[in-house]
Amino acid sequence: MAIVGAMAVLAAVSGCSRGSSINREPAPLAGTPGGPSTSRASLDDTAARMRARLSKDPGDAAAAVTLADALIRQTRVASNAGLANEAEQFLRAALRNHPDHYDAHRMLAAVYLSQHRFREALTEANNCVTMRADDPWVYGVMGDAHVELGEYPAAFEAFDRMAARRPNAASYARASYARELQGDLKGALQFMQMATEATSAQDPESLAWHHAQLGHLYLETGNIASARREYTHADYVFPGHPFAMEGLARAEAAEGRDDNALTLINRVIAVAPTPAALALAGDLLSALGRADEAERQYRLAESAWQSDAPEPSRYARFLSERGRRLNDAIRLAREAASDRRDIFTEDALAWAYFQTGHIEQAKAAMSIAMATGSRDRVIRYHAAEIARATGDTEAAKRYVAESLEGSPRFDLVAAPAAVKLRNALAAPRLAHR
Amino acid sequence: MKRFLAASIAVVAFGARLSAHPVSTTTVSVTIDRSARFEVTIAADADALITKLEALSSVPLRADAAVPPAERALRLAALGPVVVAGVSCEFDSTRITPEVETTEVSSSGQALIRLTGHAPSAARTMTWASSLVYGSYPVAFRGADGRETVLWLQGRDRSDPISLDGASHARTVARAVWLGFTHILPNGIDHILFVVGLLLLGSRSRQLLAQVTAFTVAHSMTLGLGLYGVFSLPAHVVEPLIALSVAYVGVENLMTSKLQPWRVIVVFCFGLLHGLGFAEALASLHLSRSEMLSTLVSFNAGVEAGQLSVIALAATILYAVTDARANWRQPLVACASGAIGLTGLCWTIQRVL
Repeated sequence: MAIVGAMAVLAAVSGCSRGSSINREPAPLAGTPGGPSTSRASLDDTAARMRARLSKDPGDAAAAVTLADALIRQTRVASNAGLANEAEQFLRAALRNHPDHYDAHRMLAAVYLSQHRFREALTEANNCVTMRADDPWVYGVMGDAHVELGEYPAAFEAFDRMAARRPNAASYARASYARELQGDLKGALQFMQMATEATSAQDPESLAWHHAQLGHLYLETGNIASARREYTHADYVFPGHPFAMEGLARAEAAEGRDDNALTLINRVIAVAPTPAALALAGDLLSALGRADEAERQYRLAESAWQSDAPEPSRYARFLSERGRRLNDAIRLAREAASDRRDIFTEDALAWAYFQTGHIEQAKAAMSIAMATGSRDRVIRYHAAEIARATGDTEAAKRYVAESLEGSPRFDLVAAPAAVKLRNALAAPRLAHR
Repeated sequence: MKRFLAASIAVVAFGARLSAHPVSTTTVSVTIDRSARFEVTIAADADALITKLEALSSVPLRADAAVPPAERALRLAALGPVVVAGVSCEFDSTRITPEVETTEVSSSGQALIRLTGHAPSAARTMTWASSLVYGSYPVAFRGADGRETVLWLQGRDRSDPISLDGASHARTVARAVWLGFTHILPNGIDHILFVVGLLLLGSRSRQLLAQVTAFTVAHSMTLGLGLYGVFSLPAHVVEPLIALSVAYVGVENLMTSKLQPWRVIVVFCFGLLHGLGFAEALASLHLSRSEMLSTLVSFNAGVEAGQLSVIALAATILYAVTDARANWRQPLVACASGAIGLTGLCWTIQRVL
């Protein structure tokens, strides 16, 4: 009888074999089947519920993972990087109690990525691969980190592995970016469309992001109407999404409606004054002839890149593209390039070198910036100027034509300069005729 | 746009990639003393702050955006009114405009701005906001009782109202009591089985009291020592031993029907182990030194309340059954003890593996 009783009780409690140390209450991630939506209100609600769970049991790893996921998404829509730090703290607390909790490890890798700690993200992702080699998520993290570090072959290989294991919205989005980096905008658009279609309506935050990316790709191809449609759609599914608003401003600017663009970007700045938005406001004010206001926006952008969102690579790009403090731009770009050799950092370095008369160094950096075959219009324009300076007029003509093809107002700063360059390159031929 | 977005791509859970910015280098601390005087200290990169404040001011811009180091202190001092206009200190919805106390620039280029003011004497909360920071930055509030609360704010976000009357301390105490209670009921199934095991062999209240007291004294000792970092054991050692203690009480209950003298000593020793387990749960709250003692006492009170609830419930069931059928007591104790012993053994093996 004692044995029977023992077995009955054992069966009842066996699910709690670690006593108080494991909370088995499920906490599905936002945007996944059975999980809460990723609308702004729902993300707030998910974060509040998971915080409440963790205040009762800080070792609740499932709650920590779901909270971290919600915080990373909020980081994206609110540009509040402090939330990612908070996510890291919760995950670390959970991992102290459950050092082998796989989901916490892989979410930590994602958090590192959102904090721009790319090397640590790679280390954590590699650690995850040793625990579970068939998880496509981890290959996405690895690929993203490699992209940021400019390690493109490794990035593309990771993306391929991810897609081979699970062809879904996440892997389509990465395939799209890989195509874009390699200059295949049509392929990039197709993959991003597939990613958008594969995204659940339960996940409006990701849906808005995908629509905003489609908008960006349409802008790159010069299809402004489609870009505006996609940005509008992004704003519809996730009202006030910063990428949507900023994208709409760029679409307006691309069609020459600078006043409208300024109104839109000022709305973004009122909520989230990111350096990029401040720089765009400066460009628009400059284009509208409001030089003093433009200069104030540029200085706010400089200040923000220096201390509010310190990113040497992007700060260097801002300075070099606008011909400001070029020695600082070179120093910052060199610093950034010592750790990451991505094409945009190399382009910033090349352009700063070019403007300070270091043509050979500019040529070397530009060759790296163009190594993936990206059709980025600003890079193409910079390449054209450098090619012209090195005497390669034919290459200069080709590059400047590519930069302006289908989108003569692709950038408020670079496009007018590209038009001038194209005209200058054409002038001798006209004179010859 | 992707030129900027792409350069800062990161990952997001299942869906898209994610962009984010690093956090701001600006920090803010707010302290309030018992006379309701408050002081706000803003620490930031001097050059970036001066550039920003000058851009936000109405004064004509200098031709060169760079700030020569020799001019930093002077230019920052002149920008005090812009700083004051860019911060908001609200006490129960009443906005108080602070004054600039000092502005300093260190040789390393760090600016320190101190603002001071007086809060209304009966104010219960403070809310902070600033339009001067464009990134994500920490704000540390330190009340008159020395307690500190740190919030991360994004740009122009307003902080939640921060309590000035010590209510947050009461909440922390209540939270610790609740955490202690739930660490036993319902989450601490191993602790529950151990306590029930003690009850099954302590049919007389004196015997039960001796065991429970030994257990309580012991786990309180190691809980305190563990929390203050004086003594601890890794979880992979403590957890199997706790499971073994559960097995022990169950097995001993089957082997004897009366309380042996060594039982209280053994219970005391096992209590030491359980205390280390409790300390691990409490350590995960990341308490500051000033919070530890009150939280320790509160948590322990919660644990005791949980234990007493378990004993009360189990005793009620046991005595209700044996009162109706006196001859059921022995088989019931045997059944339950067997179950506890077997479960403890299984957990021990599982936790070792």
